[in-house]
Amino acid sequence: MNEHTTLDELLQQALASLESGASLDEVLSALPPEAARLAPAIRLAAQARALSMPQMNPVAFQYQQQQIMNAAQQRSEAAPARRQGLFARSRLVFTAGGALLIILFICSALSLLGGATYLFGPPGANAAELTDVQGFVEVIPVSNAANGAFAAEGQRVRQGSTIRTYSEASATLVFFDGSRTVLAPDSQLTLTSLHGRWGGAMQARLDQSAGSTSHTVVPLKPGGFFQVNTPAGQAAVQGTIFDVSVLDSQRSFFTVTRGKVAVQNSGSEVLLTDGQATFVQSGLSPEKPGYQFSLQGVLQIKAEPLWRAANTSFLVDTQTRIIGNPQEGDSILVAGRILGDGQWVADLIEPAKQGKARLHLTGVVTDIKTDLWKISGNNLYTDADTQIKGDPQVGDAVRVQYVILDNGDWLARLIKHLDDPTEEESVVEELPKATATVEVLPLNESTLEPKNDTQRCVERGGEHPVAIKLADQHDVSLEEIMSWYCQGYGFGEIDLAYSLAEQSEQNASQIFDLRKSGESWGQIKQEQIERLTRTPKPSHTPLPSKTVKPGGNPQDNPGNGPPEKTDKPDRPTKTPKK
Amino acid sequence: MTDPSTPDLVNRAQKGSPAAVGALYARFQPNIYRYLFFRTGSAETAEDLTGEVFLRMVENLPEYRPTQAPFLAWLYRIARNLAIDHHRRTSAHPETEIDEELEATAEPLDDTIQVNLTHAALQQALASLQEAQRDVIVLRFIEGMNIADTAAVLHRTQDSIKALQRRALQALRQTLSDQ
Repeated sequence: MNEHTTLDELLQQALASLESGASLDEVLSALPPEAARLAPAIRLAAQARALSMPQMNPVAFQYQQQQIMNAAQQRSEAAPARRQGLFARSRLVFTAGGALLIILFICSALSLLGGATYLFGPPGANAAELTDVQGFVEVIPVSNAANGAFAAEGQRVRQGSTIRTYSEASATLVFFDGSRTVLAPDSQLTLTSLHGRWGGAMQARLDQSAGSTSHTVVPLKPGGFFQVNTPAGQAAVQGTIFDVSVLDSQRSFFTVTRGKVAVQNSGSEVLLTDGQATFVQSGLSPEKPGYQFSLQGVLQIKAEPLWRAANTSFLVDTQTRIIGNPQEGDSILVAGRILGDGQWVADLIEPAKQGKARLHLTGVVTDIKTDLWKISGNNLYTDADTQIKGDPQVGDAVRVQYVILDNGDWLARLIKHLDDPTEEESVVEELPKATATVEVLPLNESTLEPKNDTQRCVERGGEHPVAIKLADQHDVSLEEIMSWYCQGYGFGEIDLAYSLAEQSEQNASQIFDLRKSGESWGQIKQEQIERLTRTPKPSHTPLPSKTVKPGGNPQDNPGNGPPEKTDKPDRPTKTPKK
Repeated sequence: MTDPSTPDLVNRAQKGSPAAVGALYARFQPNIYRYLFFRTGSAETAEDLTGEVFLRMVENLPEYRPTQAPFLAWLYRIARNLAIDHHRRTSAHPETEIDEELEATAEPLDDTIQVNLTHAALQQALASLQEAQRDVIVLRFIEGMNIADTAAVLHRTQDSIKALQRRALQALRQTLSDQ
């Protein structure tokens, strides 16, 4: 047990004593000497507990309670009459004789259930639970592809369903064996096949058509499998942690944190191990595995085939997926592979989300000296502030977070054994810093301006990385996206509005108008579904289609762009509507 | 006559009883409001978001299963998601990621500095903490939630919550000392 873990336990014991009624003095005097430094934290906890608690205004309380009850009443009245009839019939059936029959039936069912559980897996194995739902997340049932509904925390997602996350949204799927899949923003994943089999072995086949997913797969039992298919390439594992990014309809990127992943495409297969990554293009064999890198910083040189950012040169070719049109001086995020010959190859370049330097690489430790580590051919210095986790040794795969010093040396901030199970945390290097030379362009401050001056916000805020991605995704101008953002809409809302517009062949302005009129996003979505139902289309794809251009540049397409930019949207309704 | 139990109220609310919904609101509104008050730093926002939390409760009650999480933990999750969404919508600055581990290794706190804790000071100090640290302070020491339930709300292990609460208290202490 390390020092921090011991302190954590001692602190918790002290807090538990406080909770059970011990006085602060008693708790502090009982602290062992090695935990004396915890005294200020314990005092603070006691003070926080003793604070008088804020309360809502009683008038607001009563009003809100009534509104909530009204909402429940409306919801209850809206329940289908068919359900009421069913309940009525159920009550009639439940007579004394009926009850006996039901009990016999339940006993028979329970006796069969034990065997069935072994044969067919645990009950509910063909569904996963959706947790950590943040932002706009949609679940589209297999039975009705047009009728997706916003996801609820804890919702069961059945085999065949599709989950879609909008901009700045995310969710986690928890499978019956404990395996987990995290969907990043702008992702789409279908639970194509999900079963529990002999002895509880899980068989999962997921189809990922967009975005990025991270999978933590518990070791599968015999007969189990876990596959992720993308338009380019398929990953199959037995028990591991890995990520899949669909860069576009032709390209996918696979990375492995721990374990082994077989990536297949066009009849070829490569095996990825700890820290490795590969890139797959539709119709071609997977690229050679390499160790992952990611770096965020200013694009210093843009001269094909070698670009340079954060003082690091990397190869950019026609296979590289580039989002937006980054120019020298822009802040970018680059993800790629370090090949066996030391060449850094960029697989994805996108606008950077933060004005912070972040430099990561993975590799195998080939040498350790007092203050110098050699990791897959790269020299990384260490100092007293370098965190080393998981006791990595020569031959082990590690993940490194580092900064570049004035003299060009790389200084490791964190070296973590890839087998180390502790949660990965991000070491973000605040810039400028005395020792770091990586120049990072701060996020354009205009995106942070008060939103009562929309035009100014648009003009100065045109480089917001999420806006660039949305413009790319929905094939509209960056200015158009920013004009909505500067009127107070979140990027998740903008993504949703454009997606609904694309699905219903309206323009985004019409969708935002509905929102401004006070309708909730759920109501708007329902209206678009009904609209689609009234006017059936030959086919429907829930993903935004890049061939549909709902808005385009407002100047090129009058009447189809954003409305007047002077009004801030109405505050979303916070109370149920009558 | 004793008050109905929470599972009983939830069960009746799931069957469409507005009275049960009203009772759930009365029972848990103080917790949710307090959480949002310290989480958002604004009484007005906390009031609005509290209403939103219970509207979402009404909408999502049919999907709630007691086996997944205690009812209050489920409500806190809704409140937390709304608070995060609210922060994203209104934040003047994008979220900055702070490395908790690095902060935790900061120099020991000066025990001689006395901290005068008030609502305002706590709100102000909480605003400067990392999101997870803010959550654990409010849930553990304002709401009085135990380690297990806090872990359930924040989707972390109990060990992780123990580590987080130490780092959060140290960071909060440091911030209050600097104020």
